[in-house]
Amino acid sequence: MAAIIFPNSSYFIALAPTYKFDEVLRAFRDRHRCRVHICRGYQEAEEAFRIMSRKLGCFFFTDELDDEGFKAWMQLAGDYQVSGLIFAKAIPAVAVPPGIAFAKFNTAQSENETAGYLEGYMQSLIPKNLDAFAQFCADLVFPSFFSGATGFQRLAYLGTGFDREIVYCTVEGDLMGLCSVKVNLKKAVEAWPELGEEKIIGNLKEAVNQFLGVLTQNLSKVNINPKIGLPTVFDLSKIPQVQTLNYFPSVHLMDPRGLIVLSLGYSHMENQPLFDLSAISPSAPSDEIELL
Amino acid sequence: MSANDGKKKYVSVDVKNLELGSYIPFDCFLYLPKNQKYLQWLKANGQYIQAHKDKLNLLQTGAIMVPSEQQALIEKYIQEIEAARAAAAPVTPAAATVQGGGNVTKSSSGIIEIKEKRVVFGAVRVRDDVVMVQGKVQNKTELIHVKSASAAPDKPKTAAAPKVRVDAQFLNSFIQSTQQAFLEICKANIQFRAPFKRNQKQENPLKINVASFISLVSQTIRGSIGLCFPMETYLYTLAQVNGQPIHEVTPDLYTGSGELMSFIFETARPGLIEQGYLLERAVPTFVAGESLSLPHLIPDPGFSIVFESPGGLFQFEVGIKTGG
Repeated sequence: MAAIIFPNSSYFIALAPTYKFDEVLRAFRDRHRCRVHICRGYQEAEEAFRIMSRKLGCFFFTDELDDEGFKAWMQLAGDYQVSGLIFAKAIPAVAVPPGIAFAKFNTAQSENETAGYLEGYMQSLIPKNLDAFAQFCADLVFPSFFSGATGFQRLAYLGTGFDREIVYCTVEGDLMGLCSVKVNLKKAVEAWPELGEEKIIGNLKEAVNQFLGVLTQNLSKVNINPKIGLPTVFDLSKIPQVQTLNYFPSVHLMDPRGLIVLSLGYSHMENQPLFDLSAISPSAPSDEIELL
Repeated sequence: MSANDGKKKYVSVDVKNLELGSYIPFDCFLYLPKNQKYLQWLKANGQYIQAHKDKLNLLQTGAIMVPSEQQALIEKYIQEIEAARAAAAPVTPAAATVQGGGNVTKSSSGIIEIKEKRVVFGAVRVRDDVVMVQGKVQNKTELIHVKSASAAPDKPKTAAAPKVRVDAQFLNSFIQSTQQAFLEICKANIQFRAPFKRNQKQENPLKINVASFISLVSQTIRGSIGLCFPMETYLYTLAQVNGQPIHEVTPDLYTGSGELMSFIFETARPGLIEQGYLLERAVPTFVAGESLSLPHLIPDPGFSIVFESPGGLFQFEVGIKTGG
């Protein structure tokens, strides 16, 4: 049975005539819990491009292609104005549309190199400097709720071993944000015995709420003022699959003890470019926000 | 305009003002000037959805191409759409006025957007920071006319006041959009049973295996809605979408519950905004597991509605907290 494509879901599309790169693509999918749709031929790709409304990026594996085939794929990428990467041993003398970059690799190290390029592409989808802002806000807020929970470190992608997840949505017009916090509750109780399970979940909810409040105040510097939704708590021991229809390329931060991981990402519903925080610096909240 | 690909003749149809959710009873194509060929855009009897609109925006065109032999059918269809729109939205932008001016722009869909909060006469759709006047905009002159008009109509129509409590209309909006989703996506008629309060004990509660949720965010209410399936009903639903039986659900296929929820929410939202529930856009979250606990997933008070589909029962949940 051919894979069902869900038109409003977010996808990475890989155009790979052979199975050579399937493993590295699946590893990328599993690491980031995103959807990767692999097409073997032009017709299949054209159909996928037509149906999908949210294309996060396209990866072209061009080793087996002749110039005509390469041209046809570039034409397709141009028609749909997708961004992405071309994986090639040598750069073909064919014009490529804007937004498409070359990732040249040599055969001997192709798998590792491919994975590296895919990671780099994923990072390019995250608003610039968001990691610094998230780190600043987490370090400011979390120690009030969990003693010693400061010095959050960035992770390349989410790890495993958590048993609760709390999800918050933020929204301003077409700009959606998703913030989730994962915790290993059993180990967290050992680390903060004075709190207990219920209090840890309650504190996490409030910590993330305040984290988003401080972050929102910082985002107002670039004229973004999102509203924050109610939290939803998932017991990951009973619900192994928690996903969102849109994919949010995210920064992941972990507390020094490795018990709490905070993830934050944004997505524009109309496929517009995201904001850029590289020209400003994070700052503590004004008197309008009161921290506990 | 007409064009020829060597075999078939095509005529162009302007769909800039076509409402999302409309059915189009003929094959539609997009002309790709770069490679001089026609791309199938929508099959006959397909529904015009956001993905199609996005495609038009992407290609920066408001026109589709249709085979010329279907021209009579197309003209009749366009006339019906125009007549329906005229009946539904008697206020045209030419008659609308904006008090105090404002930053007025025309969107690609032909809808006038007035940024900043302004009192607008003839408004039919309101978001908290954007007032929208629906109607056809023929050219820039009319747009300027809207911006500069000063005479107010006798009975100004303003947007509904923000609502802080859910009522029967709120539930009805979701019941109708759920029925519409199943009819249009799954080609299935579904019936609903009387809504009941979420804290009310049920005799035979459904065993939920797949569920999707949307967090409701607005100035006046916050909460969640959920679409909850037993596995048997979900397999039937997917099979209806796919056109062939599905016996096992792989993790990718859980996405379908999020798609359905997205359709239900986006279909209900414009009507709810008109009623005064100024709901923001939202992205569904979906989960799968053995016997999911609904009170655990949607803790707030509200209502449950059981639906009967040909493939089994499923449940729609509304949990609401007032206050933004």
